[in-house]
Amino acid sequence: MSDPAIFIMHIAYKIGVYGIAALSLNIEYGYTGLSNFGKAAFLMIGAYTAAIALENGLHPVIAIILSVIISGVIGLLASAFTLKFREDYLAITLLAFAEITRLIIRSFDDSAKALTRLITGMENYVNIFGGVHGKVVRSFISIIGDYRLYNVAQLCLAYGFLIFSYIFVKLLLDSPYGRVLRAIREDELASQTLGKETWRYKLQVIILGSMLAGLAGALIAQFEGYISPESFQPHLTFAIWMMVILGGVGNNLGVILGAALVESIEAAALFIKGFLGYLPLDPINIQWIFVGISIIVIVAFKPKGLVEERPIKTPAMEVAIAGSTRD
Amino acid sequence: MISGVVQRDSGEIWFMKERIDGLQPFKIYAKGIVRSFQIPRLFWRLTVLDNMLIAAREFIGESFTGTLFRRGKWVSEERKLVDKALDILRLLGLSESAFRFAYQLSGGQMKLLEIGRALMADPKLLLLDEPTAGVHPKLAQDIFRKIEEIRRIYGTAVFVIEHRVETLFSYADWVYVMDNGSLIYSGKPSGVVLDARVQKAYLGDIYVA
Repeated sequence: MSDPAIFIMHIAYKIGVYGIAALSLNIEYGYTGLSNFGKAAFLMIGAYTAAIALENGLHPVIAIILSVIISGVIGLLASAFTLKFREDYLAITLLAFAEITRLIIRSFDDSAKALTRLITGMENYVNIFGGVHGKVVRSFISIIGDYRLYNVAQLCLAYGFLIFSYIFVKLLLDSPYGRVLRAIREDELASQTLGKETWRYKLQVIILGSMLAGLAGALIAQFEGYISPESFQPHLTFAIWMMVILGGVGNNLGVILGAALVESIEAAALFIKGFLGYLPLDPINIQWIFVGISIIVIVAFKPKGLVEERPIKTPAMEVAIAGSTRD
Repeated sequence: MISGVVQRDSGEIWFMKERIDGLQPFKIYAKGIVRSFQIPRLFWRLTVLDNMLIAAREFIGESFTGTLFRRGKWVSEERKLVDKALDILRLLGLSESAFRFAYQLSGGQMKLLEIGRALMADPKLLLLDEPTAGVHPKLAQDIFRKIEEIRRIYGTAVFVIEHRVETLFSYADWVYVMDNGSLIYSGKPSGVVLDARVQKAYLGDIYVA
């Protein structure tokens, strides 16, 4: 990390990828009011799927598609049984689900090894998830030689996906569909008496959110080049929550801005670390101190986040607003 | 209970020759029964117009695939719905507030928006749960006058639960009186005060001459 350009590009990449993750939480929490406290698990599922796919020689495009689909399917399975109940159950279930998934991935290889020894008596080396040692991930892009050029290509990849996700989310949610989602967030029972089969909407939203999170996870894994269960602990989930809350709940541009803020804070903490070598303070804590301060400042002065939620904007609404101001 | 929010303990509910008890709220809505709530349950952080549009029936733009792949169709459909919503808002005297958030309305306006939202769904039967509870008496008169007008224009059957009997009676065609969970009177409003069981239940023994 001696080259400052590389350092900056690294931060920019993470902003792009966590922007996608923040968008996915914004669909769930910002629009529909679903508290997903298991976001890290879906990033992890995407990351591991991509890693395993690449390891087996699959094309990066197929690896991405697999990550997205498998995350979506697991999102469906993890939430289908709790969505018909009250909201808090979903939050608790997904939080527990995330930790269980992480622990399974961490111990799967060793357990499988022990089990085969117990049953067949043979020493069989199992290496699927890599256990505590983590997993080396091949990059999607192979440019040998110029490291800067490689990073620029990676940035294009991340921001390409971010822009794609943003446009997709905007088309989907600046619409009557997005209006129903917000209605469910405001009052689920009232939406039901107005004919909305709310659990179907909620299920669709969770699947979609999980798919986007899977995409973000795959992008992180191939960029970092190494993943382990420890990189997907609950504080990753909370970092994504911070992005949404600081940036502006319900505003898609806002949450991307929130991602930029939280990631910049992390980078600043990393940078300051160099000057604080002799303080009895772990630099990782500086990051959380900064995040804490910004939460206090933003919640005190702009309680709805940096960018506030805007009313649903569809072509018909624009015509109506224009009509009302003319009168 | 009719609207499916609370499940029944016993008995059957029939609407237009179909049994509807035990159905979920969104299915009751599909049959044409729409309700309002006593304490307004609006979508607070949505605009008044958005609140109205939510109630629209069979709107293609509200399905996942419809939103993405049939954009042309829902955009034109929504234009019509916006016009319809603005007409209803005008009738209720809310058109000034169409682009304000629901939480910015006054208590009486919230009640009116509850009714307007239900109307947006073209109900065959409109259930109103105390549409004038907690509203100034003069405004209560207005609300009933609006309901009367709605009945005339849209031809909707309206079923009102109300404590404010003195205002209600001049508008109602048929009155049911309930006491302790059972029906004690059913008939024209003019006969209510003369009915012995109603007098006993609501005024006590002393006044029964």
